[in-house]
Amino acid sequence: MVRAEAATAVLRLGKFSVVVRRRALICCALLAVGVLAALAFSLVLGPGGTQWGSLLYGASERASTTEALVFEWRLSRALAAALFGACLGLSGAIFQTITHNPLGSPDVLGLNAGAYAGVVGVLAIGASGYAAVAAGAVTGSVVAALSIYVLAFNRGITGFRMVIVGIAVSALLTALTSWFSVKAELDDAMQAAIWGAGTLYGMTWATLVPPALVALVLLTTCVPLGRWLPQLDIGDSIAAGTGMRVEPIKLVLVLIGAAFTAVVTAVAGPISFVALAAPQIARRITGGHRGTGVAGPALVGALLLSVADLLAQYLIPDVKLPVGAVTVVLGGGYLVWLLAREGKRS
Amino acid sequence: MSLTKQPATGEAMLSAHRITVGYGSAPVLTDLDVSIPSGSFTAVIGPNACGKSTLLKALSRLLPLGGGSVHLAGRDAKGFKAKEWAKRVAMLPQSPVTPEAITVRDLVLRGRYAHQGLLRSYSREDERAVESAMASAGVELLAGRRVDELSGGQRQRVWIALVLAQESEVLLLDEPTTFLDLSHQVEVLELAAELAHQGRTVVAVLHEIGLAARYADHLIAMKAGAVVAQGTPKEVVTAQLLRDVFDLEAAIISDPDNGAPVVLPRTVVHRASK
Repeated sequence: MVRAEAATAVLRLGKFSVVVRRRALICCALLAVGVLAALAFSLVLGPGGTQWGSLLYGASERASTTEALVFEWRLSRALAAALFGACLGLSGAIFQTITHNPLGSPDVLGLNAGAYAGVVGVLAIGASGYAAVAAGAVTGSVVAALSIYVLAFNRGITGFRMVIVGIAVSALLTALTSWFSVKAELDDAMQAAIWGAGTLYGMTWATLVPPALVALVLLTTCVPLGRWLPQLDIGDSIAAGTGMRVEPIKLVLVLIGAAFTAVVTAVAGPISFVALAAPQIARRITGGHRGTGVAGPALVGALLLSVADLLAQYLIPDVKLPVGAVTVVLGGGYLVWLLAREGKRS
Repeated sequence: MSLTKQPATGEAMLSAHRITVGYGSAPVLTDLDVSIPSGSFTAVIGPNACGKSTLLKALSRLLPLGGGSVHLAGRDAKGFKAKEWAKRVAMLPQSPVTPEAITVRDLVLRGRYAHQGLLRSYSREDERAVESAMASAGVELLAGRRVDELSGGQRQRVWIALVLAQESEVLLLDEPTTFLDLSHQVEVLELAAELAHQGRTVVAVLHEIGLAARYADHLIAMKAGAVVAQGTPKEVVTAQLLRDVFDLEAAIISDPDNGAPVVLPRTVVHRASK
């Protein structure tokens, strides 16, 4: 017998009250430590790395130019991995909840394919540069999310229908991308392909700050998410019976989830697997149902992408893989495991 | 045949006036009138696909009306905000899907949604309501167990505890006894009757006419999207009605314990039109 609710406490302060579970709290604390450790490793690993004893030395005034540069480049990239991983984890938690399906993550539903099509489209019409690519990616993924929502709408959204429609939209968008790539100039096609691999390479403070600000604003939605997602889990009609405005809230959730994916994809390109796996891993490690609330998927996502990016940089000496390639490999294995498990259950 | 009684006036807690409801183009219910007496246990009976669940969904606002209106204590249901409505009317749909790995107490706590706020997820009031709902439904000893590890009967009582925690005056239960063995069915029905005695208004869709007649104060018999009869079990459960609604030839005797009608099925009427 799993004693899943062992050791819970209620914190109350005036009108406010919240249930805290010891195991969830410990898990979140360990995950946070893991993320901080990944940040530290990012400064230390590989040639030119900082000494363990002088991790923050690069930020001081006595640091040489080289040391300061290494510190800036590595830290901005590592922070990007953690922050974007958290965004992807939350986006996954949102879409999996709306679809009531562990396969219903933004990468499977076609948001990445939408962003890719958007970027290729922007390049094909002759625009170039960081802002154009970001605009194309955001437009593409938001349009994909809304198309799935509209196409799957049939007096409300049902989960399975949304997953099927999402897979279809994803396939259509991938076809569109291939067509653009064939039609486009070679240079544009190359640029799109590099972006499409999904990488955090070349991240600096200048490229990190704008999306990071957007991401931090989006993270404030965690407060309502922490209330809505568990309530939707009990089923749409029961949730509606308890006073939740299910359909309007789902539309808001689709927009928030798409925004979380879009802000990452705009800067780093499509990175799959993190959104798919983070919410499920968060559930498994707490041994309970949403024990960690929205903090779990966010922290697991942050840790996954941080570790994946370290692997991408240092796993094979002298080869810098795009982090998207690492997550795709991890994700492939995870997906096979998930399908086998779901197959056994049904 | 004039089995249809006029709806009781004045005492109605929840009522539908000439409602038309359906899924898509073909309405399941057309111009239907029902009235649910306050503080009673009302059972909705009728053959499969006669519109019982649709009626409950319309009364609970889960399905939008194609026409007509639903009133709660004389006030149009449309005028209520979602949470305000949920504090007064709770609805348990048919065979809900249990989320993975949730504990009984956590699931029952979900019934408090309308009473909670963004940063107020477990007030003392919530705690009291959850404990009392679990006690009423007889699942307080299961509080820490995972719902997906419970038996069907226990699980059904956990869902009932969830709607009880909502602390609404009106409880709508769609087939709360389906898939339960007889003793668990009786437990659920005794609970429904007990809640009505405490002053709540309970409406349940039931399949078993005998049990409905035994435990409910008020019956609504439906056939093919229309209300055929409503009234006390004695008024509604007649040989004529069983023939008309269920195509069943049956004898009716009186329960020596409380005088409730008991149905003794004899044979199925095979109509020429079928």
